[in-house]
Amino acid sequence: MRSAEQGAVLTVKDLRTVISLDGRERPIVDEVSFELFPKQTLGLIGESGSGKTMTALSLLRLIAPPMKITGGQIIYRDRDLAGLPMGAMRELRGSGLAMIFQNPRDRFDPLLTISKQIIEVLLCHHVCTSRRDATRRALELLDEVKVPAAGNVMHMYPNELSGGMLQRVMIGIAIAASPDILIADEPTSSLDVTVQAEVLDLLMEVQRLHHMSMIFITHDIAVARQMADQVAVMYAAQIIEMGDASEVLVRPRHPYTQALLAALPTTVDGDVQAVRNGATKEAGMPSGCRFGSRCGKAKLHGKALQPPPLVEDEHGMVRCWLYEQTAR
Amino acid sequence: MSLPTPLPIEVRPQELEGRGPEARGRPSLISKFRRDRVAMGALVLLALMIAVCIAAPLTAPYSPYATDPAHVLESPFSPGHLLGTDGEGRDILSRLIWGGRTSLLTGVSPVAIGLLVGGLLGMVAGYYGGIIKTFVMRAMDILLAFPAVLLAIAIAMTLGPGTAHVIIALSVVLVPGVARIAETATTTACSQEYMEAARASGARGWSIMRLQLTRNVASPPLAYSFSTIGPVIVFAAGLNYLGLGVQPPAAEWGSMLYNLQQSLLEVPLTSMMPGFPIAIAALLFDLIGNAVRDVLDPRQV
Repeated sequence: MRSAEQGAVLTVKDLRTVISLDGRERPIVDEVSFELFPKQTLGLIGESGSGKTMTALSLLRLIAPPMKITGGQIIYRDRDLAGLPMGAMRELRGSGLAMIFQNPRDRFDPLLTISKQIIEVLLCHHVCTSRRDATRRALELLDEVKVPAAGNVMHMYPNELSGGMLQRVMIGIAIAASPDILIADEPTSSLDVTVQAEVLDLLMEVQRLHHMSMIFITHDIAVARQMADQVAVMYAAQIIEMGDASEVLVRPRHPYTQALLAALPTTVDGDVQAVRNGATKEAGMPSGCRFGSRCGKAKLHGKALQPPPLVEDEHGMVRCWLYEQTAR
Repeated sequence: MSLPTPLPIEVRPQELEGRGPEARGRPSLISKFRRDRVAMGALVLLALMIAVCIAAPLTAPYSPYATDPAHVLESPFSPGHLLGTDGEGRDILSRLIWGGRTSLLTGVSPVAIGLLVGGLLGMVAGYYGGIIKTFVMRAMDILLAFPAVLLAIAIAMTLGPGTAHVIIALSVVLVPGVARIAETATTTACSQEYMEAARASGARGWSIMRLQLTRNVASPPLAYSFSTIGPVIVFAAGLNYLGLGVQPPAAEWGSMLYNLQQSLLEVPLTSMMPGFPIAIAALLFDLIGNAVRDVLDPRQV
């Protein structure tokens, strides 16, 4: 991992979020720890249901029953967000940590014009004091996120804009109150490949201009490679491998990460390797290694029934029995 | 609400040039309403009726209190008295015009109050959920458990006679229905992803309610309320008929009906006169209410 000398903007320690179903609690975010450094991007990758989005929503405390955060710390500006009163937390949303979402069309109120939705955020965070001022600023924001004919777009309703355009507007809204951290939850998954590239470029540009850190959630490894400085791989609610993107995505150590990368279609040979078996569907989490039943290398150590150790070394972090010795 | 296909603005920006902010949004609802001929006709007639009642000093041929012992219980179309006279020789037309002010007010204002109070309660319950929702909605259920007519009569009797008390009684009866509808609509709206997005951008609960909920929730309660105006006018007349509203000699359609009832066998047509404006007003409001519902809430038809 990068040295902590610059000081992390966000430190997450042993975050745990559970969902109560039929009186039983199942973890959906478990022992998640990471640090986010200034102006860096942390890529959060993993398959559907691995807990990526839930991790993001937990950071913003947008977790509603039957889900709840049961443990861990989220340190931001010397404050623990996990224990912050709701009012203080609300003020930080948008101004400290902002979030953009996957399907921009569902994330806009269909009955409000674009201008109203931007102005709401500007006034709410006291970026602007008057409506006139906010309108002017909203136009600037739309220009900044490269929305063409911004003056017209201001008076439009969300259904009159394309998905790519709406995602730009959402980015504009997210940066309206100059947050330190931008959480992007699969921001381009619902977009065309060409539009996707534009939006990714825009995100990087905006991040550079506003000196933001970013948590970039994706299941597209090519996108993660392009965007992320560090990468955390999630599997069954846990981070199972974390390190510099150049390390993790080039020389993956955890068998799951290896399988994930092997599953990428390449242009060189047509062979695509699926990850063995299906994802865990059992009611509870396996008590031992959560990847154990799908792991091709479990035989090498024969300890799949015991929870794997968390190995931290100069390459990063990995949760696997295979690397137990190297840590010593 | 159906969403028109998105307009790729990169491709056709020139089309957008002439479209100002005024060109979109609500006006389409009004034009939809205007296409409904029956409702438009009803609206015109109703406007006429309201105007005549408001301008009572100008439109009423006599004072509503002027008695004429020489012409008691005249039939309709008798000379000088278009709709006849009552037991004290007062001109029925004049009394209907003056009384319309009270009758229409007691019919419409409880609906407005019910919409406001019920809508707010329903929104708060639906938005905050949990204990607040349980408390508010169970209280509404308790009100709904009483037959509406009996409840209104009980409240009006407890408060004592008076137009304001009739309005209060009817408002209380109307609140639970609106609250239920608003609560359902709010719960639905709150599960939409744009609500989570609004919270993620740091919006306050109150501003979410004011800015987003009111718009997304308004249609069903509004449509429901409009459709209740007709029945409520009849209902208000009923309470006045029972003597819970205005006191003699003041004119009001319901209480006039009660007064003339004793002469029903002598002059049947004359004694029925106050029933007509009640029926007509209720019908007109109903026609308009139906059209409003069609426009605002096509799914409920």
